[in-house]
Amino acid sequence: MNEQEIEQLLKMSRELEQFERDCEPRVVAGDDRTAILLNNLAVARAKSAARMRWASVAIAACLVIAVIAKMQSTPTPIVAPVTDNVAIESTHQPTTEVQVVQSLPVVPAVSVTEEVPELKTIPNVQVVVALYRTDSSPTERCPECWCVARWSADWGEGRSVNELQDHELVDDSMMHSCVIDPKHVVVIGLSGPASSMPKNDQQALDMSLCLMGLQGSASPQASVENPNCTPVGLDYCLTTWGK
Amino acid sequence: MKQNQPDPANESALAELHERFAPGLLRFFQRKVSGGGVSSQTYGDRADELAQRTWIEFWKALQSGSYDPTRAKHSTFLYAVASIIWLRSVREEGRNSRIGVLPDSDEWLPASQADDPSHAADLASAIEVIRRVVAGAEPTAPFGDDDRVILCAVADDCSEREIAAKLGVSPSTAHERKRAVLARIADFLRGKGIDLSQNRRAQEIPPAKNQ
Repeated sequence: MNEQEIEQLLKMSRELEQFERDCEPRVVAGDDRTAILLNNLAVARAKSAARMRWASVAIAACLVIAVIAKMQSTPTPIVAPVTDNVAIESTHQPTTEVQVVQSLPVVPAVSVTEEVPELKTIPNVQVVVALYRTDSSPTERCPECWCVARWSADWGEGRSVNELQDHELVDDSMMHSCVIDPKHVVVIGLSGPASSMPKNDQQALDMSLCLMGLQGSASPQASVENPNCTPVGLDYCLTTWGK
Repeated sequence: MKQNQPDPANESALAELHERFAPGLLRFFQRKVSGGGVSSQTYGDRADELAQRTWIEFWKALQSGSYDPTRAKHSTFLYAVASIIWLRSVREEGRNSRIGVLPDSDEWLPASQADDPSHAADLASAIEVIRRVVAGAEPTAPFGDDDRVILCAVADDCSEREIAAKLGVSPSTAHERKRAVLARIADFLRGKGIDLSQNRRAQEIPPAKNQ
């Protein structure tokens, strides 16, 4: 065998690992694990909220530093951009009048935006979570289980989940089905910061069941959509499909 | 006279294997047919069809005894069968392969061989040995930690520059070391009686007819 063939075999060995991961059971009973699901969801939401708080503090700090730097370099009167209703007064002695504002509302620093270095914003990502079932599925041993699939999506032109039509989510889900011949599919499109997205199938399932209001029931027909299940800043669109 | 009746025990085993591997197999083909990108119902149907063909070949291989469970796991063998089915399908459609993993597949797996289920067993054995070598689970394999770093990098499709960065050596040194490791692993496979090129050559040379 030549080098190229060995290289291909090595790459196949990696692909085989992916294949085996896809074969691993990722199904979870909807009924008897409710407590675990709720607990996991609570932990995930707490972590997400903490991360969002830190991100807000970091952005506010960056703005303050940028404005102070600007004030020190040019003696022009500047209204500092602030958050939390706190006004910042420049320590630099300007040659012209400095306008000091107290109890400012949370507003962007309009007067300095052109000079402030560009701040990194947290990019939004799109993720789709889909739950699949056949008549007795995903396995005969566990007819109350769902098979969970989760993937990153790109709907083109930077569209978020709010700009999708229902059939787009369903079409997408047909490509990622983890059961053969699904009879019922629940698809949830998510748009928002990557840090708020479900990190694994378990979290994805938790969020999905919560959104469907299924903690106590495995029947999607009985579900009532519950919008309080996603971390802050996450938009979602839930659609179902069934034969 | 050999009966064509399926053994109920085998059928039960196949059903169990199907239950276990069907989702992964379907995903495998979904990734292949969509090229990891656009999705559509047509692609989904194509993936279903290829998965069904794979199960048929897999079943035939089990029935014919060409699969040896001591040489490769069921998952590895099924993956090998699926890869061959995919190659065959690409060839049938007469379009360029989007397989990614096997860009030069036509040269490696000629049509005659792709139709031979025994090749799936050889392919599975080769992949199995390579996996063990990369994981350091092959005690007789003459590969050190750096060698395994190179093998992992190649499996991950890293460039030689990236391999050089991992090893802290120059790209030319990385190139030489990569070549040496690949040559050694080919020797190691041959030592284990695995040589897919030899199978290919055997297929290309028609056997002499018995007089």
